[in-house]
Amino acid sequence: MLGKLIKHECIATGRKYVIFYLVLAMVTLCNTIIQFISIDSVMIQGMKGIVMGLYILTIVGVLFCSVGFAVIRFYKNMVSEEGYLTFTLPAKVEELVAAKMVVAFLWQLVTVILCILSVSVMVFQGRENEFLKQGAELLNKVLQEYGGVVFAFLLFLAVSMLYQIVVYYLSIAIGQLFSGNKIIGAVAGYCLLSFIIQIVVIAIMLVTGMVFNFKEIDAYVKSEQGLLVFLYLYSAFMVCLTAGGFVVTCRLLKKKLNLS
Amino acid sequence: METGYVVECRGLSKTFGHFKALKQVNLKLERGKIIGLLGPNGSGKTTLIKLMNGLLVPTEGEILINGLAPCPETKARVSYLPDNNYLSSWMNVNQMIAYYGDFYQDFEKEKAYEMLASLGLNPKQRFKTMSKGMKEKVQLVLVMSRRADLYCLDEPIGGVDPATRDYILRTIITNYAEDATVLISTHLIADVEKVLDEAVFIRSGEVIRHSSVEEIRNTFDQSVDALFREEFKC
Amino acid sequence: MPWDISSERSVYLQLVDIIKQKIMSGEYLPGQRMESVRDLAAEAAVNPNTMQRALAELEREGLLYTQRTSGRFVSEDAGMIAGLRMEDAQQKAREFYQEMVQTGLSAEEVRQMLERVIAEAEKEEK
Repeated sequence: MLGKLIKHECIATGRKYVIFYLVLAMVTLCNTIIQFISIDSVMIQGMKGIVMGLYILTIVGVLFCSVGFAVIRFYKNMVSEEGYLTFTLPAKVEELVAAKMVVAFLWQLVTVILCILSVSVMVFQGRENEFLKQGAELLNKVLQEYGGVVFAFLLFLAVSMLYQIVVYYLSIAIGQLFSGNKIIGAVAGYCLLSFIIQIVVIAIMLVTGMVFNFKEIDAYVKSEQGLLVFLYLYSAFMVCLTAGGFVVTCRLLKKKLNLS
Repeated sequence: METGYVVECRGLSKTFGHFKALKQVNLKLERGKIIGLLGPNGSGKTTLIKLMNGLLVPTEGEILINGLAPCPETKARVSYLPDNNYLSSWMNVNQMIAYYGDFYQDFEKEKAYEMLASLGLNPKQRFKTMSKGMKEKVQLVLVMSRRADLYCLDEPIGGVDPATRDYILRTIITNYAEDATVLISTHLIADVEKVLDEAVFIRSGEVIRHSSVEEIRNTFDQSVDALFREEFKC
Repeated sequence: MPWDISSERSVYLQLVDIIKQKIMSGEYLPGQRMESVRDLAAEAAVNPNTMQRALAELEREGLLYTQRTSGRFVSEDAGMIAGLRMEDAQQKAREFYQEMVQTGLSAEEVRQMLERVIAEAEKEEK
């Protein structure tokens, strides 16, 4: 059942994401070509600047829309009218939520990778060989020297993405508790959640600071081993929050669902 | 064939905040019956049907479908036609049929296409371009093309033209199976009463009558519609 | 076309009557195979269980019979059907006569009026 849900989730969301990516590709192409123009005039330079600005906006926009779309998709398919179909499918609520989470996360990954690719193309405009050579060299060097930290950092980023998605889903689920406007309820839920998490994080930091010495921690984290430990700990913390968020989301949807 | 009741409610209550939508409902629905859930708007019909489909959980008491509390297993045996539109606007009919076929083992594709043809609907059309009436027809086709134990139809004939209404009732009759139950929730009693085996009168969250329609006609010497108007006079 | 059935009286009894009429009038011929319960119910726009009960009653009365594998058939006993037709016609005639008497006609007036009506009808047929 989970497999089927994931498959349909991909079909349902694929179209929108592919459009984002096509837009990204086109803007990247245009920008690259325009930046290539070597005519030295004030107007051309001005135009170059504007186009570069638009390009940066597009990158940021695509990254935002990618998350935004996942949130809208969850809302539409789970707690608005489509929910009548979704929640009467012969599937567990956990499977429904997990399918959406997995697919949203995967699309986020793809989006980030494509954005990085786009920037690389921009920077190395036309000089693919150089890009590949320099890229491979850089990659090798970085992996050899900082392999562990890089991996931990990537893991940290991935977990953060997943965590963000769950926070949005949980907010939407909290919105169901409100008898009034459920969207406002969701926004309120999000604010509340963020606030609570902040408090928890500060509390943990204070406690850690009191147990150990602030100065020591500062020095420790700056060292390679310390950074590694810090990243893994933080990732683990976020994994717990994500799991907890997932469980609470499912529970809320099971017990408190109230479609219009 | 399974034994026991297809739907059983024991002391079932549902409260929203201060509002008591259902109060201590005790109801047993048998297999192989076409049953009317009859009551005015706001009497709790939709709440009861949502509880049968696991879209709401009871505040008190319990509701059992084939002896189980609503769960994926019961959802696989219940076909639900809600009062509103649940079709994704970006899909077309073919895609929705594929979707249904994928998730429901008891979905019969050929039957669905037959019904679409007789209703004059184009399988390639996107829901975005369909009128409200057409979308309602598609939903009906999807729901009735499943071989379920329980069909819950929430106001299936409200707001449709007479020809479609006749088609819907005709489909319910020809779809009839000995081990399946059809629950029709409506306030348009005169239109459906000849198709019903039993009638459940519900008012303000309480079931005030549950009997066979022939019994009502013989006992009260009037139509179910007439009796309803009497008992629900404002 | 849905059959003309009122929801104010027992649908089951009305179904029995209507099917009987169709048999007597020859709309359903002796020995003719009946449609399935569901199709008949759909045609009449009534509940299939009620239709089933009506058919069972007609079987009990001998107007229909079931052959396990091949289905339900109208009785081939033309004599019985003719007899029923006669009985039914006589009952209707009795009711008609009572009605005429109630409007104030005498027996002789009724007889003459009937003969006129029949003569008119026969002329129209030619």
